Amino acid sequence: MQAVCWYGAHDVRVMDVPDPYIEDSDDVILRVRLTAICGSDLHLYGGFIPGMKRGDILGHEFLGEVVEIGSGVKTLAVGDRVVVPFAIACGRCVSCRRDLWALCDNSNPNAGTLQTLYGASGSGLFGYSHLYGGFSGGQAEYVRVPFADIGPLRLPPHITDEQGLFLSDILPTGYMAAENCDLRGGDVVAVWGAGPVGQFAIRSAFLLGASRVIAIDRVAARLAMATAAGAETIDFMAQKVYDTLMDLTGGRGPDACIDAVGLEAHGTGSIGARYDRVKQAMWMTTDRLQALRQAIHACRKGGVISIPGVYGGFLDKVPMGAAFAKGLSLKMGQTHVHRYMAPLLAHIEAGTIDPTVVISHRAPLADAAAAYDTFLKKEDACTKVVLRP
Amino acid sequence: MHAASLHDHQNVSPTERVLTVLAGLGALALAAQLPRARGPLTAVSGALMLRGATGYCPAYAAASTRTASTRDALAGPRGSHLRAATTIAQPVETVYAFWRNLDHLSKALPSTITIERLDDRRSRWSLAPATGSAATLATWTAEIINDEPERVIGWRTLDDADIVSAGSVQFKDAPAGQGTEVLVHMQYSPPFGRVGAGVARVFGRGADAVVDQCLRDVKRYLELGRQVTLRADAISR
Repeated sequence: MQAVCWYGAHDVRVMDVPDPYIEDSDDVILRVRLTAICGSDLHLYGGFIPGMKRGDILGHEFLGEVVEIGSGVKTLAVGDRVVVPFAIACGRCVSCRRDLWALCDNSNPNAGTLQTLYGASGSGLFGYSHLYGGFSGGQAEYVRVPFADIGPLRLPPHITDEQGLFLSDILPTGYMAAENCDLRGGDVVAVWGAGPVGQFAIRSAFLLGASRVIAIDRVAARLAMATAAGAETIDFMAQKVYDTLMDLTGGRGPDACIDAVGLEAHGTGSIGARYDRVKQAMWMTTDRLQALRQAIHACRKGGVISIPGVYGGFLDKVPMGAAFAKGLSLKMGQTHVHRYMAPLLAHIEAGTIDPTVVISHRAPLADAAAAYDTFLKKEDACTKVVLRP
Repeated sequence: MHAASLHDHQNVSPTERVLTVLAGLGALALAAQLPRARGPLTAVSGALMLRGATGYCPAYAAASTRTASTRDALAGPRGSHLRAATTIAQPVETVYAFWRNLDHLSKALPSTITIERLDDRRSRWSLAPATGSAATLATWTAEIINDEPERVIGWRTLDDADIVSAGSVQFKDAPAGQGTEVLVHMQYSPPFGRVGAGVARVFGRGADAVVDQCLRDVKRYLELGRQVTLRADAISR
């Protein structure tokens, strides 16, 4: 089959690789109908995440048709069209039973490394390095889905592939970011980063009762997309973020701040190597850490910092004093996708959220290498690329 | 899950420890100059620096530790200590019964470990370097010396052991119906002594990592009834 394989920093190739097959009795094999490149795939593309090997198949946002089922699968049948959560969860451990699916105890067979780095490992992830289990991703013609009775959501026929695809990651991620803000009626929310996750955070914040949302970015097309959702905007290249936010909120600051940017700093191996890696990554991404600093600086006293953006390593110069002095709450983490898929499908069916608005580029899977490059450079007003195998 | 080793035994004088560390740094500098000899020199450097840092020399201790008797090899400050723990989402009677039946336990452990049950209290263990390997790294016979149902199982190795060990597995209820807390506490006399254990740990395959993986695998097996399969070449080709 054809698959998008990682070969190193800024080197992905569409390769002919062996088809996946049923490995455990509750696996299914999907024929992928539609897949997407995520902003977090760019961390892999940039070479910032350790534990990648040449030839690894990328992709954790995908939707497809079941073509083969394991003998133990109870809830799916051949021919079902399903969307799959990016986090792999067993459904039986205490974390899963507590609705913390992305923290599944059992789904990462390589948990030892993350246990050493972080003190404990989260769930396995599709196409996201051997640290997270080494599962093949879905930017391919076919993909193996483990724990098929737990994650995949069957889609009704009136939901198109493009409408359903983002239930796999970015729609729940934006929604959880807004939910983590613990909004009360009338709250003002500021969102750093108007990429796809930021866009869904903006729309979800309105759904959850925010009176105003302020989007902060520098890409005109993304700011325009935020405006279309009803947000006010700040171009951080042209305006002072803190001053503008104070002007817009009567000097109080936003009640909640969402960092939908993240940092491309990730740990590896020894402490020295990890530190070097962090220093190197931060050197290259100071503007991105700047988002978290600005959010903490601008947030209203007693407010919430919600962080859907991915962080991986050690952060220097986080203004902890400001966060402490202002009594801020910090909420973060990988999205518990399983928790949000069914309710968000209901929103899509009701027309209260249209996930397709973020799609800017559609390409065949064969053109993936060029699509990664365009997305990384944000050329051609690129916000979200979907790939059709 | 958590494992930790304690090294408290010292048999090298303070002055000699400083000199040893300097020698280790010298070997490391030499390794940087000589790419071809980098591997061995780095290993030598690591061993020297570990000797200096821990204050323990296996050669000095060799006369007294080359014995397979748990009483001699593990008495007092000898041997390495290791603790590891996990919480398994099953009731304590299930976890204890599973652990006590070594035929069951061996199905859950990594495939590099094989257990042959000799009788109700004695079992023969062997450790392979890799899955499917015909070679054996170490073998030992273990004897259960303490068995309190649903509380603790204690063991020690008999005199034929390549790795002398003694220890216990404790079981107790986890709070809020989360299942069973399993705590392994063991002492062992690693091959090549403590320096061997330290070097192994530096390269990530120390006893701590092995025991941690065993606990993760047993937990997964008891919660799912199986492991999560991943082809060795799963996403890399």
